[in-house]
Amino acid sequence: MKNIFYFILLISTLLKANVVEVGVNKPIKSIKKAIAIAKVGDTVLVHKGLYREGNIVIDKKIVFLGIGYPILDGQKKYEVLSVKSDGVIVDGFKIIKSGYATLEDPCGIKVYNKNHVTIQNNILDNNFFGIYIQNGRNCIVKNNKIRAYGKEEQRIGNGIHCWKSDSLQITANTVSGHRDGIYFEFVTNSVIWRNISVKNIRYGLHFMFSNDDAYISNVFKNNGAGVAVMFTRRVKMFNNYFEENWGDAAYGLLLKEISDSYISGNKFIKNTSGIHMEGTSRILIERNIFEANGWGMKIQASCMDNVIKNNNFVGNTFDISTNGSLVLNTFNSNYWDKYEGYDLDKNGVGDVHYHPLSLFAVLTENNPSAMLLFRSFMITLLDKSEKILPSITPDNFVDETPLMHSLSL
Amino acid sequence: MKTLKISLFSKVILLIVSALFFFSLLFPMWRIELTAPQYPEGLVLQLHANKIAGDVDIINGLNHYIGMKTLHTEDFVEFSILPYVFIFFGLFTLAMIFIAKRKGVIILFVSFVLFGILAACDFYRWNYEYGHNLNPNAAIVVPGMAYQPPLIGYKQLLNFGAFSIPDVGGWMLILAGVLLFGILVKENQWIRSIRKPNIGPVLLFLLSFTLFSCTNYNAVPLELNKDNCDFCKMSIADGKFGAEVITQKGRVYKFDDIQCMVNYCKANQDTKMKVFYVNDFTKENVLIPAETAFFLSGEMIHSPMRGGIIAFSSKNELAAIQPKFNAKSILWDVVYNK
Repeated sequence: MKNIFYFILLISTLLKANVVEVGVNKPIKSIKKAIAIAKVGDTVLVHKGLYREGNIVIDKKIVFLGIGYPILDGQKKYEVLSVKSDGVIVDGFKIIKSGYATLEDPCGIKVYNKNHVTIQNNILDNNFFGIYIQNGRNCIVKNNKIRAYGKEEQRIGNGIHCWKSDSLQITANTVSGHRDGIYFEFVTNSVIWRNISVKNIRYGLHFMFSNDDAYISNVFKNNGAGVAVMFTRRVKMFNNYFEENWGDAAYGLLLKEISDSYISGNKFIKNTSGIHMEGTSRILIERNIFEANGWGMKIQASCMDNVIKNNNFVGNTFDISTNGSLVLNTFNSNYWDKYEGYDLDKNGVGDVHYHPLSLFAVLTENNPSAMLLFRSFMITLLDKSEKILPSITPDNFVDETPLMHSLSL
Repeated sequence: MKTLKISLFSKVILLIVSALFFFSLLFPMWRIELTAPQYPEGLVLQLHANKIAGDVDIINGLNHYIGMKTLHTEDFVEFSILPYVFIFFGLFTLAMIFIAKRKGVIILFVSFVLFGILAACDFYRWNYEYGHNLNPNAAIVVPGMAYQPPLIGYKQLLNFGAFSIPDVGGWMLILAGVLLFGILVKENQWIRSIRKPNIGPVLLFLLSFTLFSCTNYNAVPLELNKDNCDFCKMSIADGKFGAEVITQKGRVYKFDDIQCMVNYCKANQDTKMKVFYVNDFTKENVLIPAETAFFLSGEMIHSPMRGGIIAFSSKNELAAIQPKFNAKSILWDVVYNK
């Protein structure tokens, strides 16, 4: 912190910029006044303390820097911080109690149609929306801790909410207790990297109409459901953790109307369904781990031209389930722990094709109460015979080169 | 018993009875309703005098799994005979108006009751046959399980609840029987020997069955973050944009966005929708009837699935919000046909 402080001082002296200090025992005690005094390029340095100044608007290009986490309190009445200038940096504040659930969707920090804004190292606690980027470009949201205490039955906004923006970087934030941890809508060419989104009421991450984005190495755990990606093209998902999203209709990852995307290196562990796909096409799903889920993947009949290869399916109740019969997806070269074939030529690939779709998964898809008969002798028998001679399940639902050993992923 | 003429009043009733016999041919006589979780709207088998109707193909498909024979109209000789039986009864009743003999009415009534008993026995026989005569090589064999639907009333068969009751035509016939009995009571002055069957209330009771089968169309509250939208699968998290539709059969579907409800109805046009509810934008999660609500539609309204439609219970509330969103005011039929 200190280093940053000196560094900024150094930079600002080089740029002939001044530092305007705010604090209880400084000449200027009000943040609003300091912002009014500051010129473009100055730093407004806020010392530790509690500031209740209603809605603070930053309307010129300044560095807005907190030392020792000064608290900006919205008293449940105001939007705390509104950024209305390009190039603003907001760093090191604790922002609490924004207004609540009004038409304007009050936020902890909101950026209004501006570019190159950086919001970093802040703590946001108990705000309606946490950080909201509206129509911004090249903004950075980094190292913020965002907490709220939403209850199931009341309205609450999202942790990091981005709308109609481009080239954002959402990095290393932790979000909990909001409706959706991170929400992207009409956001393009952006990256979501190394965030931890846990215990949010609806989704860890929610993506709508946002093309050409990537989310990498994030953790989504214990949310109402993990991640929902809807109506989106060309999205890349690498090395994320989708864990413990349990519930009646919960899933690790919901894909609805997605195309031309790439899902690789993710871990889906202990979810009701690891991936639930509807209306997806041309997706490559490779090198993921599906472990201890109710359903590894649920692929609805509306999915086509997806390639699912080199994944490990381990310890799921059902590896794959579908509600249709027409299968236009490829499932080659995965490791299935339920595979019982043999490998006489020792090339690591099973000599018998594997039908990953269990008859029972199909039956329960159409008839949930049949679950009563799960693991009964008759059903096991039916399942076995079905695997050998598919009659009810689609026989082209097949892995022709099942692996004998799990991949080291 | 002397052969006496019957009164004018009874003749009018006879005319009604004969009309009932003829008109019953236009309606299904009997219905077997099947309900199961995977068929939220239920399946129904309707027996007309001359054919089987309803979801026959789906039921045949299901029956295939348990090894039941498929149902085809042409397998039943009854369907070729029954229409003539009812036409005969109708003509017999018409004839009675002109012959107007009390004895004839008695014969008519007795033969009708006998026919009823015969039909019930026949129906039971078919039910038994279809329910027990199963293909031993079926996909699902439950030892000792028979799939005989109930003659009348309710019975659970595996995961299906089967409900067997008269349909419109059947009720007409029952009404015809009751009216005939009423004529006999009136003409024979049985009132002293038997306690008078109070026909009025009985009729009302029977009619009320057909008219007000006990479906309740009241709005079911949306449970935020528990209920999922039945169209887009998202959890409903905001009680200002949601909607709900209740079908003819009383099934409830919930949506997170008014547009989702409209899309759902478009996608399921064969489902008969009964009532529509929408969230009142000015309140927290309150559902109001859609037909009488006032709507705003605009780009700036950020509803969960970007339908951009919100609802108000009054014009004034709408007018207060309208400038904020720069939205245009529309009515339900426009919303629904969007």
